This record gives sequence, C-alpha cells and structure tokens, in this order.
Amino acid sequence: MTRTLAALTQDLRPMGDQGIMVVFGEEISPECHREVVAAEKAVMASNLPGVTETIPAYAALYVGYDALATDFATLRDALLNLSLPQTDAETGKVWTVPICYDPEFAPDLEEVANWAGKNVDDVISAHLESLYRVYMFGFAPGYAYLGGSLPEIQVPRRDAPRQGIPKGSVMIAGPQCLMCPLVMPSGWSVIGRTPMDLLARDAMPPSPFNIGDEVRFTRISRSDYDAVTRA
Amino acid sequence: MTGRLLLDHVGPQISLQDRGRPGLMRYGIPPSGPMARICHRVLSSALGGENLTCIEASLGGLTAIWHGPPVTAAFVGGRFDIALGEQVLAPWSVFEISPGQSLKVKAGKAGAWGYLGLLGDWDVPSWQGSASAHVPSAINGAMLTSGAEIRIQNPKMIPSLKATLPVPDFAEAPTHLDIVMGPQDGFFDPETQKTLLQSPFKVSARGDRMGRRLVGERLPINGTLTMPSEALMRGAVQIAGDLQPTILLADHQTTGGYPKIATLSTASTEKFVQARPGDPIQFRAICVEEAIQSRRKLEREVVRYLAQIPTYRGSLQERLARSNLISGVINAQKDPAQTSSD
Repeated sequence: MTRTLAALTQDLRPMGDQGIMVVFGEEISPECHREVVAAEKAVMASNLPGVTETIPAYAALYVGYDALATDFATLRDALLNLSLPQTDAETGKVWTVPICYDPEFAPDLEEVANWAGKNVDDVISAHLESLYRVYMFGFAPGYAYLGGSLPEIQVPRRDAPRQGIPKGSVMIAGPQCLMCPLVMPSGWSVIGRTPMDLLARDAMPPSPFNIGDEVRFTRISRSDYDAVTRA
Repeated sequence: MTGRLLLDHVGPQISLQDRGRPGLMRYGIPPSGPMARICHRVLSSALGGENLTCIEASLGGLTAIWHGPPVTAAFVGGRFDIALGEQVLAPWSVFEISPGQSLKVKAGKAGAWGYLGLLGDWDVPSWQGSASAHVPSAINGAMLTSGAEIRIQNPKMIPSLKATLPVPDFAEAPTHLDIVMGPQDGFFDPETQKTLLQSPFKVSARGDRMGRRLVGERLPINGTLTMPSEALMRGAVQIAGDLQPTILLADHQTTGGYPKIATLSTASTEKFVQARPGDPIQFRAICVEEAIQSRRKLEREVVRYLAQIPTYRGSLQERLARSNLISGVINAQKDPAQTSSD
C-alpha cells in the first residue's frame, strides 16, 4: 500500500532559491524519522528534474534543487505527489559495532557511573543493551547522530568541551550516542573506543552507516582492539 | 619540470580551494569550496580551464615568490592591490610570473576574497575528490601559513591568455541583500521580522569561512527554542543565542538547531562574501519566485561575462585591432547564449 507525501505533511518551506525543507514534525522520534527516511528514498528513486541533493535530519528532509532546471512551485507539487512506501516497513541495515571499554579509552566511564549511581559494569551493560538509530550526520564529516540510549545512562553534556577527543571514541550525552570519525573537540562523555573506520578518504559513500540504519555495540577486549588496529 | 610557489607571507584565513565537495552534506561533509564561487569560476575560465585549484586570498593579503620557469597566472576577485615585482597590475588580470619574481596581494580598496591561480598541475592533497581544505575539521590540510611552499608540476606559459578583465557588478560587495523569509521565520513575531527588514545591520569583524556575524538590533526568538537539528545551507540567516544574524558560508556545518529566519538569494550571497567588516547591510524580502528569477539572471550574466573573456585578452593594441575587425559581429551577438540556435 502506498500513499503520497502530501498525506504525511503539507509543510514544505523554501530555503532561498536553492532548496525545499520538507518538515514532518517537531519531535525527535523513530516514527517521525521513518517518514523522513521514506520520503528521501522516494525522492532519490523519482529522478525529479533539477534535484541536486537530499539531506535527511531528525524531522525534516532538505531537497536541494538547481534553480536553472526547475523552480520552487514545480518541485513542491512534484514532491507532494510522490508515492511513499509504508513507513513501518522501512528498515535500514543493522550494524554490529565493536567497542572496547578499556579505561585508557573510557576516561569518563567512572564519572558516568557515579552520576547514574551504578557501577561501571552496569553502565557498560546498559550501553550494550540499546539498539541505536542513525538519525542524521552533522557537526563534523561522518559524525553520525545515534539515538536510543537507555534513560539510566542519559548523562547531561559536560560543563566544558574538551579538545582532541581521539578518533573512534564512543561518547554519550542525553539520549544520544556518537562515534568520533576524526580527532575533534567535544563536550560529551567518552566511554569507549571502536576500531571501526568511520570516515573514508575517497570511497563513496564516505561513511559505513546510512541514515535510518541501526547500530548495536558488541564488546571487545583490549587485545582484540589492538589486534584489529595493528592489522 | 616542477616549480615552487613560496608563500613568503600569508595573512589569516588563506587556504587552497577548488570547487569543493558538493552533494556530500547528507554525510556531514560540508561543501567548502571558494567563498566567492563566481570569482573562482572566472579565474578558471580566464586560465582556459575548469575547476582549477587555487589559493583563496583574504583581506590579510599574501606575498609569494615563484621559483620555476615562466608561468601564466591570474588573480580574480575583489579589488585587491596586486603588485608583480615593481609592476602594479589591474585587480582582475592574467599575467606572467618570471623566475624569482614576487607577487604581492594586499587588501586594496574593496572586496574580501580573491583567487590566485597558476597554470600547471598543483601537487596538493585531495580528499573526496577535492583539494579544498576544510579547516574546522582539519580534513585535507589547514590554513596556509607563512613559509609554506606549493609544488606545481608542469608549469605552463600561454602568452595568449594574458588579459585585463573588468570587475563585473555581480561580484562587487552588495548595496542590499535579498532574502527569502524562512524556513524558521515562524519563530519570530511580526515585529521582529519587521526589525530585520527595516533596521540597518553592519558586517561584524567576527567571522570566518564558516559564517559571518552581523550586528544590529536584537532579533529575539519567540517562546522557547524547540527545534530538532536540520540541514543548513550557505546563505542561511541563522539567529543564535546572541540574537544577532549569522550568514552561513562555505565551510558551514551541515546540520544545526538554531532557527534560520531567512535565506539569502544566491545572487546576494555571491555579493555578500565581498563585504568588509563595518559595511552597512540592509535586508530586502523577496518571494521565492523572484529569488529564482535573480538566480537565472545571475547565470545569464556570468555566462555572458565568461564568453567575453577572450575579447579582454592581449595588449591594448591587440584588443583595439581585434575589436575593429570584429566589432560588427559583437554587436550582433547581444546574447552569446542565443547565437548557436540562430
């Protein structure tokens, strides 16, 4: 069964002469995000004239266009008429991402445990339990916003951002969990490190993850981490 | 054959750029590329190429010394003061640099970004198909610093490219900025939207390749800010915690959660980048259809300008001789884009 984009939203806003922001809601939820992902797939499959790029986020899909090839009203009407698959049928890939919680890689694990009133192993178990959803990229190249942390480890951001968080660091704040694709500043709590390569220099796509995919972490030992990174 | 361009002195915010990395924003990769995209396009055309790697010069200026065989070079953008050895060049020109000669670029009387190209194969790193540095994430290099050296393989001299180009209006600093309201104008009451359109703003000294702050009356956000992060674009007029507008530019982050009260037209963005700190800014609201018309008009003007570059090549005498021979043809070609179908 299909329905048109117009059945999900009529809220299509101009972004200058370069794009249309299709707004599906104002909340961060898997349900709303599934609509964004389904709409992006439909736009990509449609080959609408003049479309230059799509950028999905939590609750809005940006559709960029070339004003020399189309115009706002033409593209808006075409988008509203797009047929979308049922969104509950939308499932992305499920990734298993290795993580090492070695103290050297997890400088904030103990602080998170203190904040949560738990021991370090409970925090690790809670972190491993969730299935995280890839909502969008932003802040830095290949930096994927994963949502779905359990309430008991939803620590607030740290007071001051720190510079030079190592590549591969896995960090949490609020309902979110992020992995550093490169050395970067961050105000989040660092609780582990993945040996996975998160940003490709030349390959396309540059990130292993796609928006709408899901991530489950699996624990590896320090010796496994060292073996993978040495290889 | 290899040449070396020694950057004896470089001011702040000067980097290597080409067209950048368009189309990768869904992966968090900013488009980067030139601040003044049209000037870069003109530079490439003037040197007989397309999407050439070049040095983007800022108001900080630069001094470069060429160690290599005679080479054809060009500078396009703004109205910088350009000196080749002792010789003063026109702000937009194609010229030859002799072995050991120095090129000095200073802020001059107008504009903020200019592009220095040299004919040859630039031996510089590339990332996802582009030589552009994205400085905030440190992908593909950093800002250029004094003492840096750029190796250029197979430097070429093509004397027939030498030219003095006029500075077109579409690349001059703006007298006003056209904006299309939204996508988050709904976060601001009508009074605040009126303030944006009616009160004067000034270009602040705070800014870089990611964005440029303006200063003026405060633009308070109505109610609490409850907006999930969404895509950002070059030209977006974002209102952050300081309640002042920031215009997002080449190296902007790909997503963000501050409301964008409006978005500059592409034509206004191209002019805005050449504004200097202290310049007055007056916004003018236009509808999206008008913005699209202005985008198309800009493209027609740029195409016409690029088509005319050959007529600016050669010495004054050569140009006069040529225009005497073919002026009738030029008059018949009011719109170069239409001639092929005539």
